[in-house]
Amino acid sequence: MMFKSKSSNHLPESGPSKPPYPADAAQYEVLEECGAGVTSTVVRARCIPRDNEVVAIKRCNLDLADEDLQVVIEEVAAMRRYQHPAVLPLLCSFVADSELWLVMPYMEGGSVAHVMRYAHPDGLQESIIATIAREVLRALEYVHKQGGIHRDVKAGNILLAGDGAARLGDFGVTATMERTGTWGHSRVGRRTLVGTPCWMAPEVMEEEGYNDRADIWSFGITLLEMAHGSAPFANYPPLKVLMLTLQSPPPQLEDRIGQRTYSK
Amino acid sequence: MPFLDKLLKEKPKTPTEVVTKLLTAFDSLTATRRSNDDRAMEKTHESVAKYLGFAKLLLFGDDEHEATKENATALAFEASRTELLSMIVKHLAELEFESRKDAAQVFGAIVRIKDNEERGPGASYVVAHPELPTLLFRGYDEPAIALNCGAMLRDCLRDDQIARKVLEGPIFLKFFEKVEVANFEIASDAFSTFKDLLVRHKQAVAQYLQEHYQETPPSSLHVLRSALRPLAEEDEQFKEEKAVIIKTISMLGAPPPPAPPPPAAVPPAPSDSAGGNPAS
Repeated sequence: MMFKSKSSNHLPESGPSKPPYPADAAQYEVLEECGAGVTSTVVRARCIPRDNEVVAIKRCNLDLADEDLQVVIEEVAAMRRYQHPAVLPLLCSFVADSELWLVMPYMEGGSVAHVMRYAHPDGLQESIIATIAREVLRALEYVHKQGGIHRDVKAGNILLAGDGAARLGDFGVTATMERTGTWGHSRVGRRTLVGTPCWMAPEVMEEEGYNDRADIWSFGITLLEMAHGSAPFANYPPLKVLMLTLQSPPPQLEDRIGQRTYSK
Repeated sequence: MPFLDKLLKEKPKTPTEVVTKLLTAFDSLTATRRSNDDRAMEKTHESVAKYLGFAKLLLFGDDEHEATKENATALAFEASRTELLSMIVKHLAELEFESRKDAAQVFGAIVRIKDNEERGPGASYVVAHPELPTLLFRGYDEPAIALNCGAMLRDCLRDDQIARKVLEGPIFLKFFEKVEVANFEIASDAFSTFKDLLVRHKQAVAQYLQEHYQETPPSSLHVLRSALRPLAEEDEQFKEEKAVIIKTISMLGAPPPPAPPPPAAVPPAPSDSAGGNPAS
């Protein structure tokens, strides 16, 4: 039997006592910015009608080409299909001016990449890696069972709650395996090049079609990242990373003298 | 759920058994809700989940079992002889989160499956029960089931006759409001359903628009144009229908004011290449 994680306890439930998350920007008080990407920023905010509950809001610029907008729409729909203690949920989404606001639980521990950057630049202890890895695997098992692919598994997308519970977040590039066949009984893989080079599986780079196994490659790279403090080839420019990944054997734990040792 | 996998391996079910058990499980949802017995409720939810799992196995297969057309068709026929599709729609909101998704998938597959005929058993059932698309459309008002309902509605609308009924019914005009609701997932899902409806059945849509263009609210023109944009990119095959649709839209009134803030689901129109510029 599967055993249930206690980490589900901190999930902000939309119980009967609190109103649902409003689809209206005026109902949120933005506190400060806590992250920024190319087309989006993440802010910490209070949800006023829910007793000032603190949430994270990802604000995405909607001045996108049609195809990109289609991708965003698919992602948002995909996030709504997931409900799992190890998967960061989407609580609500709406358009405010020319921005799409995605309301999510605020994870006060930040990402695993953050924690390493500020406190553990040489990597985490094995027991901590194992604990985080288990949550990520649970999340991936769940997403894969639904025909989803995360496509961007890395320490930067593993978020930590105040109690240390880890959740896989940022389904910014998730894909769904498309169903084909008369009644959708067969599946075909995806062919688009997305993800972050250092964590990207060779078959994704080669654009020959791939499936959810690509996430397992990225998961492996993430384990190395957590053990060493950075992903293999992290110091090379993206194109070089593609080349190295395609030409080299799969990266392994490095023996760095004087550093932590890990069981193999 | 490894427990469920084990169960599936032990007792493969026939399509008839699966449908019967599912109907029983749905029935007891109502009964146990009245009894207010948590333990019984939990058992009922388990049973719904279990037999939806069996239905999915027959329809889609899994890693070890290939789905067969015989089983899938048999399940669709069996379901359409009973009230299964109506039961799924009726009870959707009461189901647990994962069961809702399974139920929507099972519903969709049953509606889509064909047996070498023009219309499969599931689609025929929906044609005979026109309240189902209406109920599914109303599901957009309930955030918890909105996206499940949207997917099921799209599966229904693949059928020409169902689409025609929806076009002529009260739902069509309500789509214009639904694609502009504040909630982004719901608005964009409604938009993609609307687009499917318009683009998939060009003849019916062209005919409908010609007969009813006075009723289309002028404020909704940009929605209609965006939804019809894919038509512009298609091949020559439907030139005639396309021309009619474009002409009809042009009769609906002046183009919308330039650059309103983009509504939730409607991609900001980069140009009017979509519907062709009707004003010209």
